[in-house]
Amino acid sequence: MYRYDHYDQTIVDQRVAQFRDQVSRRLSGEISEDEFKPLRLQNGLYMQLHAYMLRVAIPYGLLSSRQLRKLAEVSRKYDRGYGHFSTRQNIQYNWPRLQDVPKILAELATVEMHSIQTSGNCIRNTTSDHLAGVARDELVDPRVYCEIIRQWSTFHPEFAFLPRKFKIAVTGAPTADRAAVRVHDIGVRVVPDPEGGDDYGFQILVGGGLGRTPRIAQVCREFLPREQLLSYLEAILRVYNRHGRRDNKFKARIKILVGALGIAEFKGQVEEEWAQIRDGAMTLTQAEFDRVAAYFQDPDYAELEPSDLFVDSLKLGKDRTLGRWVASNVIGHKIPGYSIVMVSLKPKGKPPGDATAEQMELVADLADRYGFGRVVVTHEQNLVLPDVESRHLPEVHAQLSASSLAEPNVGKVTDIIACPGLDYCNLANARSIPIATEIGERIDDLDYLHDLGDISLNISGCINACGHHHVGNIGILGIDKQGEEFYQLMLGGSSSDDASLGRILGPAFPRAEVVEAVATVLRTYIDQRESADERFLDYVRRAGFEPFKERLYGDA
Amino acid sequence: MKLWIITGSATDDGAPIYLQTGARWTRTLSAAEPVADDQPQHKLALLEAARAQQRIVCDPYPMEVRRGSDGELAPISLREKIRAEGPTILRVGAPTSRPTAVSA
Ligand code: SF4
Repeated sequence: MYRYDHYDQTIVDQRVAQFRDQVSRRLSGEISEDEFKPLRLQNGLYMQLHAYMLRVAIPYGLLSSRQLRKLAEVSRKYDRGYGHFSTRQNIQYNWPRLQDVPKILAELATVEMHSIQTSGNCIRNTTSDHLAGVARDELVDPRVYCEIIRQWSTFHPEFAFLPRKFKIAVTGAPTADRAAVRVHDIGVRVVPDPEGGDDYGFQILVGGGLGRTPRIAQVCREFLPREQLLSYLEAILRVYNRHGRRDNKFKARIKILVGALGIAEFKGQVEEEWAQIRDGAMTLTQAEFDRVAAYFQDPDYAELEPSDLFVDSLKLGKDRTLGRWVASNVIGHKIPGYSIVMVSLKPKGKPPGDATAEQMELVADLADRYGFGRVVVTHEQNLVLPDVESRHLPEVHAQLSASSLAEPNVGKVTDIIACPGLDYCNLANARSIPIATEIGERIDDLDYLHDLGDISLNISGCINACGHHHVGNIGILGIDKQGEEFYQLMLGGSSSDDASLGRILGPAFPRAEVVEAVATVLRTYIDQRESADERFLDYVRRAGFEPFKERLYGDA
Repeated sequence: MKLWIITGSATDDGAPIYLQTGARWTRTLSAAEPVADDQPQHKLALLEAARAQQRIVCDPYPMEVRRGSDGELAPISLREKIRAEGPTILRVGAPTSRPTAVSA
């Protein structure tokens, strides 16, 4: 993984010193909250309902075991002994004291971490496929490009005050989008050369996003030669920076600009801008690519026998607990004999994405003992041990299980993505986490859970959609009706290759009824699907909303 | 008649704090100084007093409260209730309120 050089370390250390001074001036009353707010936000420090919240960047979700141990230590020393992994592959601490934040940042700097650009109207953490580097269907390791984008975008003077925040995602697997690139401001897809050449390039998507105006991204360029990635991104950012609306926060994202201009006009402006800067200083040379790619070389994998049959035998074995876990939480690795282990942070009754210090330490230990000391955070709020020798799966399962980290539900309906909602968030209309935990409690029959198959369920506590409810196969949006929590159900969303936005099913449900409504949706699907092979999403697309409406609302 | 108190977030840890008599701050909502709707000048004065203490408090604002049957001040909105009492997460799913499991 990428290691800081002298410049990176100096920049981060200086930033900590600068923020320490700002905090001390705030605590002494020398500067007011109004003056301090933009400074703290530039360091990822928010104010929530009960406390400050510190968001720490995890570039493209990749952590070393050493970094994960440090995150655990910080949570124990300065917070309440847990952290929350977010849908942007970052971690958030919900209870830091202001005077401790510079100390936290100083500790994080010792393991090459920071919270720069985790807030504000700048280019945020570039996210990626959580299986990057180990996926069987990957054409190119996207982390190399994520890192190149990170270095280009960090403290980019031209893009420090964009009209609004800006999110980029990169996927290196041409046929399986696990990075939700179509719902990002810019989505970058590695694609083979359409002319049939040996090289690859990028398809560039633009104008996707969720929030109050959800949009699926449109193609801005079908094929971009790979050496032009930064020049093209720069051209897009320039057009956005010039024309994006700054008068209305709710119309400031690039998706609104793309919608207003139309993709043809937007693309025309980008190409015009690009014509002026392409082949210039931002051209990615092979030497620069190699420099960054060197950090993402494969670890020293052993030469092992293929293990797919062994893994299948575990799935069908007598130990049903292990079998279920292998079936849902273990993925085939690109190297024979290895497996990818998904560590579920969605155990029954616990807030999705939360991990205690002890759990983080255990995962770090397992990464060292059974892998190469690497851990990945997924945008679905789980963790990944990317390099486990398949023969160790039973041991790894036993250890995860003992720490409530082996819920066999990855990709299942209880693998819920939920924002913090009204339990923490200042902007919320309704709670998200209790709905998630109650759904988890409700669907507690594992055979039933697995029979339901892969279903994504996303919950947001307000229209800002941090829980990505528009792209859940089932989406739940919390709304406030005269002081009462209500929840709108949406069906049919997907953030994958077949990306689509869910549509509202009907009138919202009161708090006391929403969990039962979800259960009814699931029962309707089970009763009426053609076969167990028909996925929930496919059923919704085929049958439409009527069968659900009938059961939920009586006469539709 | 509506009752109000002044609240904000403590600068040192972001916790909700409430203005009490003597322009001092408390972390106990029920100890706050209430002001009724028919005293708009007093309400404004309290808000001004709060704003003057920007070293201690962030973004003070008036919040509506009511008097419970026990005579104690209590928040009206769910947001303020959660803010005052902390996240509800650990209380949900209590056996009495937990729905029965779905079966296939
Ligand atoms: S969706 Fe709304 S409630 Fe949830 S975290 Fe985002 S802003 Fe807060």
